[in-house]
Amino acid sequence: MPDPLDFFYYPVRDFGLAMKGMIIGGMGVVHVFLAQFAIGGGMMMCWLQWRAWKHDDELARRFLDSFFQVLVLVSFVLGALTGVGMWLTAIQVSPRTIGKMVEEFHWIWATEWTFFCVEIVIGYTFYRCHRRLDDPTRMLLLAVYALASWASLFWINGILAWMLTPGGWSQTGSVWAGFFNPSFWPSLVYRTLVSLTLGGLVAIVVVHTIPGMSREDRGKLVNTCSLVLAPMAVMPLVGLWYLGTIPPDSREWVLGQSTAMTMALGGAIGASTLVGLYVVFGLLLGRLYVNAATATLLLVLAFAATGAGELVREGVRKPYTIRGSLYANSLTQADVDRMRKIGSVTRDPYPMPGKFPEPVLVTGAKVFRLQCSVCHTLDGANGLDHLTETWQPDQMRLNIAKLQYTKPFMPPFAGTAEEVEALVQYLLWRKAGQPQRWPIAAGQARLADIRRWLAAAGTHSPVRRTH
Amino acid sequence: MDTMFPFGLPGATALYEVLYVLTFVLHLVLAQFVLAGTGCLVVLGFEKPRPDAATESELRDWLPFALGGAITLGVAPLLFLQLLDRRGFYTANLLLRNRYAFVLAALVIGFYMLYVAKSSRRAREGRVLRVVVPLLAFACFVFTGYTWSQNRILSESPDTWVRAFTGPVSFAELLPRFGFFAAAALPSLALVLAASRRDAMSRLANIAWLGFGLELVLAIAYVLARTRPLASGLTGAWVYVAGAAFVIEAAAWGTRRYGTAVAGRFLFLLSIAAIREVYRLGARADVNSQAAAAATKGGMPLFFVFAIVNAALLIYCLRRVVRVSGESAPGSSSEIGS
Repeated sequence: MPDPLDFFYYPVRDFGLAMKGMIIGGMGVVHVFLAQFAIGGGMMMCWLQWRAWKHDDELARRFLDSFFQVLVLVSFVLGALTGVGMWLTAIQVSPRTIGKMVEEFHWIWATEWTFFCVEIVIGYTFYRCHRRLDDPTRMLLLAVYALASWASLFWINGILAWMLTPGGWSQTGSVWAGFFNPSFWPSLVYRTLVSLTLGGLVAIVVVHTIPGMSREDRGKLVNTCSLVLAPMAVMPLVGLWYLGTIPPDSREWVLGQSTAMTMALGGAIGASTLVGLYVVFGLLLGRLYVNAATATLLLVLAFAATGAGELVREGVRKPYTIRGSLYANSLTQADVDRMRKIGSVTRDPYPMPGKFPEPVLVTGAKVFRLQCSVCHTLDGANGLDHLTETWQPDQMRLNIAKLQYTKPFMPPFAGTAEEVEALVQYLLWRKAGQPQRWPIAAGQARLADIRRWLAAAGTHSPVRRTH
Repeated sequence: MDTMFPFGLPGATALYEVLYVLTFVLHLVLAQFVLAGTGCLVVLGFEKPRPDAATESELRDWLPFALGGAITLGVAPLLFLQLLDRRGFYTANLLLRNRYAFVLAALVIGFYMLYVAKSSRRAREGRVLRVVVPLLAFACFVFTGYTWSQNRILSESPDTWVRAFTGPVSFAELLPRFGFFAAAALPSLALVLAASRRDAMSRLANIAWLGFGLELVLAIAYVLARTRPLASGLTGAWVYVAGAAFVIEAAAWGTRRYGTAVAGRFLFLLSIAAIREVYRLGARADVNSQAAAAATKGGMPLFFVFAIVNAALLIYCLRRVVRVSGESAPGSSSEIGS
């Protein structure tokens, strides 16, 4: 079904009351948590193996065996599957975004895959054979495993950071300019620190699952594992470095302009601070013993911090999903320009399920589906029914026509005046309880107003395109 | 398509097609081992447990790793597929709605069932669990394979997309197609099992022969069931290669020539993968333009360099492990978690 206007219509999924962001966010947080745990776990095991080898630490050796089983069982399968799941979920939410990412960075992704293969094969080899290996070989395997898993982070981090700060890619289209973008290094360092933290915290939980170990031995192991948490102390500085590299408008949103984003950032900082304070003063300086409950609580806090951090990273990209290239609703600037002239849904081949008394309502529903549904539901999370509840009809027309000025994190409306009116009628019809009859006046003057407002708003977002 | 795939294709399409086909075959071998191996465990579950049952213990031991490997090796073809037929693949995924989530859940359940089958004594020796645990895993893998077949057919059928958006669309060739790939798993399983025990080739040949018979019947059923036109590639050279590989492999099983059987199987799977792609190229007009757009992006040398470096690193590490573990415990096969 190639479109002569070079716009390909994908069928749009409806997740009911759930925002699509919740679907991809839920999968993303679990995947990031597991993947970063795998990376930190690899480093953790190198540290333990080093102690076992060079300091003849039998306790470390014994613990390493248990820890590795957890890593294999949890991370190898769930981590790998949620990785594939991220692709599949991204397709459900925004096929054009994931398509663009894959098209631009497929060689990077393919390179990452070679490291992923190393990680899995070496991991399983260690899992199966480690009891029969000497210390140098064990160290070699674990070092290769840790390096390969960190290299996966290295490659994927560039692609993720590019979405917010595409850097020179915006001008040149160069993959490398996009990969080594302004937020690449702070993001990489920060994620590495998070990985170490998660590896250490999971290890402390696992210490309590080993049967037949004395409290004294558990205490020694907790202290040993705590040492990999020490780099957490520099996380605030790296966080500030990262904030300094993101676009000013994004920074302003998380520093007060957007309540939701500011709260999410606050949550991430708060949870991280609690973990950090306990680690520094309790574990590192106080050499406290941590029981299973406290260890689990610390891990839950770390999960919350990871989730909130990822939410912030996703949220601050608005109104773009790939800054300067693809708006949050997966339309390009060229799409917006063209659709202003020819309409956005007249060529959409997919029917609109449901009963509508007037064709204009079908058009309105299709406009919602194409342009709004990626971030909004109708009457669920972030629902338009609720968000527009207090708007008068003309205010609604004005606000939608000048959408990018109504809310700077919204993309410009991509369609004709007739489509603005159709969307307004659709929302008003829903507000009226979806009656079986919905008389619509011709309203040429109304359309003229909308055209004027659309022209005044222009087709561009006021948010600067590049960074 | 007048020339043999991938010759005659534009350079970008040919490059991505070759990478896709090669990585897909690697993935397919392990996926088939998992599917048929789990099915084999179900059948063996009806027999009384025997401590000396080498095939069973080998399957229980290796299946979780094989699944992990199949998933890992599946990432690369999934990546190259998105360059070749992004629109078709994404549309089919969207039209199958929540199926992707069920596939993920099925794979997670399947893995943990395999792990239970390997590590739990009850699952190895209990009368009910010996069948139920692998059966659950088997059902998960059948569902996964069936869904991928459905996805593939849907992605190649743009004329059905609008209908599929409003309700389910059935394809007559779906069952024989999936059945063919499932049947093809039997000879693959027999070969993998025979790798470590050549003396068992006579017994394993029965599994292979069963697979050959089913492959033949289901291939014919598939061709007859197709409602969509067959691409010209079906009559192309790869069909003859597949036929020749099939005969070579069957003959090699008859004469117990393991190496020849492996070569025949690999060539057969390669041919099937190539024929699949010829179908796609016949069904989807935009493959060349998508591949051409992707080929303008940088980074290709990076992939090939690291593919070689990482392969060398793996070989070095594995050789060292074999040497060291052989020195420290000659003849030992003790492994954790087993």
